[in-house]
Order: sequence, then C-alpha cells, then structure tokens
Amino acid sequence: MSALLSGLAQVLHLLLVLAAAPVLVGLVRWLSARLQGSAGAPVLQPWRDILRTMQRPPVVGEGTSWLFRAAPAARLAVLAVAAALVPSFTAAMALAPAADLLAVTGLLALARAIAALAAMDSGSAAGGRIASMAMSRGSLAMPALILVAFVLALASGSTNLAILAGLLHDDAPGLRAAGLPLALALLAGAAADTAPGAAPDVSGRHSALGEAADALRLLVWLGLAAVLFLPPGPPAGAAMADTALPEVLGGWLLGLLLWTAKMALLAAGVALASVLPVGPARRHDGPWLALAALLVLLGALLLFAGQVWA
Amino acid sequence: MSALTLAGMALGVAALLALALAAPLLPRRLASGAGIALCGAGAMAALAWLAAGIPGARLVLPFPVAGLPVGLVLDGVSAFFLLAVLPIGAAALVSPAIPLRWLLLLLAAVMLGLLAADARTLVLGLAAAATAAIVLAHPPPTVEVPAGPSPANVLTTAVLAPLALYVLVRVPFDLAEPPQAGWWPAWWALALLVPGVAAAVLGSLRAALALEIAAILRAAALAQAGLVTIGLGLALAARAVDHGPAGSLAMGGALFGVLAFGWLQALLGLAGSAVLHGAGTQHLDRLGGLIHRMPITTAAVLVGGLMLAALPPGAGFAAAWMLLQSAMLLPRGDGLDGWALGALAAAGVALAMALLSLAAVRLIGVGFLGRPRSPRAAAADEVAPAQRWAMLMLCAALLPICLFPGLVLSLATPAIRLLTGTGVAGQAGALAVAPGPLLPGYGAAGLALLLVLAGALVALVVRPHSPPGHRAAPAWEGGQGPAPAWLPFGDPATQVGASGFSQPVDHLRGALQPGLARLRRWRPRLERWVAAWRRAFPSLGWVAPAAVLLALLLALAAGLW
Repeated sequence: MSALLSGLAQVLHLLLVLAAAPVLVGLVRWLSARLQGSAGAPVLQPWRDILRTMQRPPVVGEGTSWLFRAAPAARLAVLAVAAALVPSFTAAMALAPAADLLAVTGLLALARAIAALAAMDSGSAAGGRIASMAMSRGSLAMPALILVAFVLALASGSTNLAILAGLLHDDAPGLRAAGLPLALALLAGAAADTAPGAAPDVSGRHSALGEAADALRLLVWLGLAAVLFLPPGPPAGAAMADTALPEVLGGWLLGLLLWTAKMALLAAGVALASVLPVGPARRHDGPWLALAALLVLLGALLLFAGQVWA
Repeated sequence: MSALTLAGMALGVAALLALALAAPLLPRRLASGAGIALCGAGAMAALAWLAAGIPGARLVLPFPVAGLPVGLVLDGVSAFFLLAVLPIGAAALVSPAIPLRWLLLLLAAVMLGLLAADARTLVLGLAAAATAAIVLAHPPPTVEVPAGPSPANVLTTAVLAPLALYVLVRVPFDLAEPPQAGWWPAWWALALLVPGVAAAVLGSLRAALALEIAAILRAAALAQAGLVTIGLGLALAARAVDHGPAGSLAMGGALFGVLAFGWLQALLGLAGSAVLHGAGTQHLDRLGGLIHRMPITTAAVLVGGLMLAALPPGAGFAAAWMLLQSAMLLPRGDGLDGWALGALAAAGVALAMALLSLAAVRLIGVGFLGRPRSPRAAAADEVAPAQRWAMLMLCAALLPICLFPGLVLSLATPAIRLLTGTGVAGQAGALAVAPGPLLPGYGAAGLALLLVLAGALVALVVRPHSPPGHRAAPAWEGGQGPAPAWLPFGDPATQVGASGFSQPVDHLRGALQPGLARLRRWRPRLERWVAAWRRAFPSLGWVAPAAVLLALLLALAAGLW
C-alpha cells in the first residue's frame, strides 16, 4: 500500500511540475509586467507559446551536427529528472532515496553543459558568447549550491532532500538562524544560473523544448528554496504505512496548497528582484560568487555557534 | 593462490623488462601487442584476485639484485593500483608516438614499485620509473614529433601518476601506522589538504585557460591528483577525529579517483593523439568541427568530457560525491577541527568541480563542435582502427565504473581496510554508494536509467505533436552577410575561440594573482640553475640528471636498508 502510494505520489508530482513550470514562468513575467505598470501577458502564455512552436519543424544552421539536434530533448529530459527529485506536496515519493541534493546540483550542471555544447555547435558568434556566459555563471552557481548542501548536511548527516525537507522546521536550533543566509546564497546561485540568455539559432520544436527546459530549471531552483528554507515543510509521513488513506490524501492536499503558496511567493520575489535594481550588476559575475560564499560562511558560523552553545 | 598470482605478476615484470630489451629487434606491432597482452593479463589477474577477496602474499626473489634481496607483496592496495595502472599502460602501448622501449621499461618499473614489499625495492622501482619517465618526457626532437607537451606525454604521465599517488597513500597510512586513533592532531591533515586543494583549484583553473589539448589534460591531471590528495587528507583527518565512516568514504573516493581518473586520462590522451595525428595540430584555436570528420574520437571525448566535468552519471561525479560526503561527515567526529578541515575540503572540491566542467565544455565545444577554424581541421582524418578500437574499449571499460561505483568501492575494500582500519560497512552497495548503512546515497545506475526513461518519455510526448525532421539553412550571423568564397567554412573570427570562451573565468585569476606572483619569483632562479647545469654538461642532456637522481635514490635505498 505504502509503495503504491509513494509511486502514485511520484507520478502526480511529475505531472504537477511538468504542468506548473511554464505557468510559473508566466506568473513571474506577468508580475514583473504589473510591477512596471504594464498589463502583461496572461499567465498561461508560455504554455501557449510552447504548444504553438512545437508544431513547427525546426530550422537548424548549416554545419551543425547530431548533437545540436539531440540537445534540446536531452536537456529537457535531464531537467525533468531533476524536477522529479525535488519534493513538492509530499517528501514521501518513490524516488525519494535517489533525491540527493548533490545529484540535483549535478543534473543542473549537466543540463547547463548540454545547452552550452549545443550553442557552441551552432558555430555562430552569439552561440559562443552565450555558452561562455552560461558556463562561467553556472560554475559560480554550482559551488554555491554544493556549499549550501554542505552546511545543511552538517546538521542532518545526509544530503537527501527527503531528509533535508523537514529539517529546518523540526529540530536544529542553530540551523534556523543559519537558514536566512543559506537561503540567500541559494538564491544568488539561482540568479547566476537562470540569468536570461536566449539560446540562439533554435526554432520550432527545439525552441519549444528549450522554453520548457528553462521553465523547469526555474522551477527546480525555486522548488529547492521552497522545500529547504520556507517553513513549513511538506507534511511528513503523508504516505506512511500506518496512516489511513483519507489522511494521506488530506496531507497531500494540504501540501499542494502550501507548495502553491510558497512558489507564488517566490515567483513574486523573483519578479520584484527583476524590477528593482538590487544586487550586483548582471554583467559582473565575481561579486555573485563572493556574495554566495560569504553567505554560506555566515550560515556555517551561525550553525556552528548554535551547536556549540545549544 | 595469492602466492601464485604474485609469482605471475613478478614474471610479468620480468617479461616486460625482457620485452623492453628486445623491443628494437622486434616489429613494433608485435612488441606492442605482446605488451598489451601482458598488461591485459595482469589487470585481469588483479581484478580476479580482488574479486576473490583472499588474503595477500609475500615473496622474496630467489636471486638477489645487485647483492640485495628483493621482496614483493600482493595486498589489497597494490592489487587495486595494479588494476588501475595496467589498462592505462595498454592504452599507452597502442599510441604509436611513444618510444616503445622506454614505455615498456616504465611499465615494468611502475609494476615493480607497486609490488614492492620493502622501501629498497620501492625506491628501485621509483628510480627506474623516474628515469624512464624523464627520457619519455624529453624525446630527441624529430621532424614528426614537435617539441613541447604532446598527448603522448599525457599518456606516460597517466602511467606514472598512480605510482606517485601510491607512495602518497603508503607512506602516511601504512608505514607510519599509528598505535591508535587520535594519535596525532587532526590539523596534521592540512599537510595533505592544503596542497590537495591548491592543486585541485589551480589545476582546474589552468585547465579552463590552457590553449592546447595536452596542456588542458595535464592541468586536469594535476586537478585530479589534487582531488585524490584531498581524499587522503580527509581520511587522515577522519582517523584523527575517530570517525570511521568518513575515513573509509574519503579513502574510497581517493582510490576510486585513482582508477577512474587514470583511465579517463588514458582515454583523453589517446583522443588527443588522434587529433594531433588527424588534424595536424592540438591548438584549440586551429581546430573545430571535428565531430563531422572524426566521429569516433569525438564520441570518446564526449564520454571522457562528461567524466572530466564531474557531471552525473559519470565517474568523476561519483568520486567528488564521495569526497564531499566525507567532508560533510567529518565535523561529526571528536573535537572541533573537523569543521574547518571539512569546510576547506568541500570548498576546494566544489570549486574544482565547477572549473573542470567549464574546462571540459570548452575543450569539446571549441575543439570538436562548431565550424573548422583552419583548413587543416576542415580536412581532418579519423585515426587508425587500432586506436579507434582502443578508445572504444576504454569507453566500454569506463561504463561499469560510471554506473556501479559501489562495486569499485567493494573491490577497494581490502585496501581501505588495510589503510584506514575500517571497512565500508553499508557504504558500498551494488547499485549505490551511501554515507552509511540504511542511509540514502547516490545511485548512478538508477540515475542513468531515469535519464534514459525521461528521454524516452520526452520523445514519446513530442513525436505526435511535432512534424518530424528539420530543415537546414545558413546560420544567422547577427546580420552579417554570407562569408566570401575564399572562406569556405565561414569567417573564423565570428566564432568564439579558446581564450575568448574562458575570458570571464580569467578574471578569477586576477584575484589569485598576488599569491601566484610570489611563487613565480622562484621560477627564474630555477631556470638559471637548469641553464647552468646544461652549460656544464652540454652533451649529456637529460640523461645526466636522471643518472644523478638514480644514484641518489639508490644511495637512499642503501641507507634505508
């Protein structure tokens, strides 16, 4: 029964994130348009774009190889796996044993590498420039996320997301204080990784797959922030063996509401950050890394102090 | 059984030596084939011995060498390192650019060093290996072998590196066996961690900035040796703070790294040789578009790059994962030292992973994708079948390493138990590696299966909603017109180059500049000494320093004895 429920939860979760990712992007765009005083496209516009461009055959540059043509689907598949691993409405899913924060970091890096290779295969000036920017920004996002995982694992002894999900809200007095700088470091990494840079020379189906992958990437980063740092965590034990079915379903529903609220809040934060001139200028990447490193250090120190004086 | 395997290994060393002596008389193909067969048999024997899990054996040669008895030993550590090094040797033997005689001598010396039971034999092996390596690194310049680092150097370095790391493993962990845990303060581990972090970060930074394939691979090898050293430092610290699981995971990560990184360097070294041979250059700014002309080599580089970049489900990621988990467990031991040491190691590993992934993408993207940057690259030829097969076989050998790191870890279990005193209880599963029993970990095979399933799902969903096929058209060049007829593959200047790609990272080097400048102040002094030596002995070249080194090491051996 419990195995069946966790499998069901996994499938529902996957469907949820695949459906929600373009909506999330649409929400961010709509909010930032509203904040700048314009009407903004409807929230479902990214979904419409994806479905429309999907129906056109792609035009590829002359001289591109099989890698360029395979990359959009491969990148979407990698990010779909990453999104399937980050919990949403419940942490008790079938793939929970594989949901390692470091593995998710690696999958994000893999998707970034695939995108950069495809951009370089196009052989155009814009492709090379975008690949270079994406890789150097991404190589700042990756250590930030790994170090966040390091500090969280100091408290929990594991980097598994199902274990980390409820951690910040249950016990670990030092971690609650460390949470804010760590969350900011995570967001600095997210800002570095999801910085806008449209893939050049893609069209039709490839463009649709790329849009969907970009949306999933944003959802993975915000989902990590939501599950790790925004209280309360997903209702624990929603699929335990001794819980009755109605209670499990009630827990899922509550978790779904919580997750939706948290993602909407984070989307509002992203929209606000894209409008306000906060943080270092986007052109310079070094300050982002320094900022993230300092925040992680602060988080580790707070955690350390909490453990020593507890 | 163990004694028999050890005797076989000793015979293998003797056979390699004999082959090295006879190499000039034999056809090259015969000699290298025999060497490859010997290496393959040795690797199989080491693998079988490790899989059988039987106790080790010692052997003293019935005849003394230079009046001194020679003792050999086969235990978990030496068998694991033999398993790591012999396939690299076989790959190096395939490459036609390496002088066969010295390579066979190097292999025999490395095997002898790995099998050594006493310091004297170890020093003998080290000295012979160093001599062969010096000769191999400085071949007499000929028309077809240009001066400077070449992919062939990468291969010989990959053969030699495990021996150096073996010494680094043996000396602090085995010879200086402490009476109990906590015998030394944990911060002594800084002696390994600081050089390890420095090598990992600086090596990966240089790999992200270097312009030639061999230089990139050498820098990456430095970074990988740094990662292995970080693992050893973590294991030392874990023993001091008395945290068994952290120590065994760190040592497991280091040993896994020796095997995986060594094979990876062999693969990429072969691919680099293929590029140098097929495209006439290894300078990234003169390559490009090789994926069309050299498909097998490009596939090998893609596999190797995935591993070099520490991306899942590659083996590089598995090694980094083990090191990071060990760094995270370290603060759970006694005392407060583990906090600082773990944070240092984690920061070094994280930064090295990120920079290595940039270096790998740059190597593949600039060198093998896009448009050709020179007429020679546009007319590149795929390499000879023997080397193609060698690359494919190395890829096939790397596949189980990538997918089942737990099995490699269980092959390394005797070595880990010997070196750290703790086993890998519950850490090395068939499908996953985990920080401890009953804890979720990293399952590479499962992740790879998920990726394949997700790819199939994407294809299934997309197929009915999208018309099949694609149309090719000239790439949009930001409004520039088509290239003139005398630029048949477009204007090279409109494509990002090797140094342009890593320009954002170059700024990072600015931050490290003051410290590096201080180190660099020693360089002219060193060069002056070398120049003075060359002036004094103009005809001897590199053989003289090698002989002096050999004499010094032999004297050291006699002293130890």
